[in-house]
Amino acid sequence: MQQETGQSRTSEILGNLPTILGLIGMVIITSLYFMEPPWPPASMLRNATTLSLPWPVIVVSLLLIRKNIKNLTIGGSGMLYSVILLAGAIGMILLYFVNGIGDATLSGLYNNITIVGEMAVTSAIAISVFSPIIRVYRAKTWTMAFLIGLSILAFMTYTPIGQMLWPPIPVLGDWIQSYISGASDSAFWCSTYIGAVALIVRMTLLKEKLRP
Amino acid sequence: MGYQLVNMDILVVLVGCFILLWICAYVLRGVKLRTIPTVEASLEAVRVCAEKGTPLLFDSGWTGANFWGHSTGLTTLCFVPSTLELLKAITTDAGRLGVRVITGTTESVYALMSKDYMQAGFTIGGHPEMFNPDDINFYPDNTALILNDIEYIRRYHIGAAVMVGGHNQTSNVVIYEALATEGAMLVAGEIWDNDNSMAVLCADYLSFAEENIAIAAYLSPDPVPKAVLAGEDFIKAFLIGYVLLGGVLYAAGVLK
Repeated sequence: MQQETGQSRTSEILGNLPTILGLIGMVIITSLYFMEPPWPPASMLRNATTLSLPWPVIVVSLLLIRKNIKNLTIGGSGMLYSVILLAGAIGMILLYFVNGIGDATLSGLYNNITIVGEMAVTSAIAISVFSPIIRVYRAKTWTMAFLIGLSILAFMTYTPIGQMLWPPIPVLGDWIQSYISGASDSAFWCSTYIGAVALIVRMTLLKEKLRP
Repeated sequence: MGYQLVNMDILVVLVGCFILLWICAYVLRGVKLRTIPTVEASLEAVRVCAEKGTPLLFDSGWTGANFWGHSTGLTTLCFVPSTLELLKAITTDAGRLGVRVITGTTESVYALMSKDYMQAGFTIGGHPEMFNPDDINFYPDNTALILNDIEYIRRYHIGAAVMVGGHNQTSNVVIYEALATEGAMLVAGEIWDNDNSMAVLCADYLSFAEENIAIAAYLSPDPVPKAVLAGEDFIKAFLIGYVLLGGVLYAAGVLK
């Protein structure tokens, strides 16, 4: 019986080894917040894990390239997108190998291509202030209707309209922002952090394994 | 070299919460939890897509990304187990009902993990052949995520979307708008309160950060995670009492 228990405990530890190692690493790294001066092994472990983060990006980027090559070979939908993506990726990689990250063409292309996307999204957001909000925001419940009312009050508080209509409007808006919104913001973060601590407790009990 | 403990007050609170929740894990076993709307609504979203004959969009946004190295940014990491378990639950039902699931994330590790969970979900659902790795999309930034989401919504006439994770409060409204114009059902559970301010006005079902972190425990058949979940209420009750008492004492002039 004892042997069986011992075996099951061993298999439990081995089966949860990634979680256990992760928890030990977490405790070591957390010590940086509670210990002065920083413990060198903790700093080293934090830096090592942080520096390892780009590697999965490389793996997933390669998978992304493979996906678009596959799409081109089978003639799937969105072929033009695949061509642009692959041409862009190969071009950028070649430029990188020619002159490194400091290459003027590479950085120029990177920044300008990013700007195109940023501009598109920013424009969409700018338009959303007027157009989609009117269509998307739906007062389906009394709570939503109340929140839309508060949004209008906030809009009037932080634009000259409120002051022009009736001077107490911005005063009321400021009061709600300072006290009601401030208190609810604190409550939101308190509950989130309690949830985070509970998550760690479940991990120490080996109940959150990140394994499907 | 002499080491010194600092931030002792935070350490005491952390250890206190930890011990209390650990005790609750044993004492509160068998407790019955209330329903988390996001989970039930997400499974309903699968059924909606089955009826409409369209794919489902599961977008976890910035989940798993460590922003700024700051605590508010790190909260995205707390969403990882929950969103992945939700993805598995969704793909399990999607497998049974023949619904395609398209996902998008801005975190490379999360994208790799999504593959395992989707594969497991479709297998449990009895249709492992439905798993398509090309339906897991990785985007290098938020801009790419938004543009591609909108492209998917338009191209496939997405019937329902589950957006549980982090989306910038100003940009998520662009995705919500695309979904609304397609008449899609929207289930949202954003990380940060300012994101949720948009979601609360647009989504058909909404849950807040703490509920989203709890999804994995809620879906688990194990009674221990559920007991820990219930234990959180003691800390919240203590905090509410503490704030109320402080307010009364302050108003009475005892505290200054």
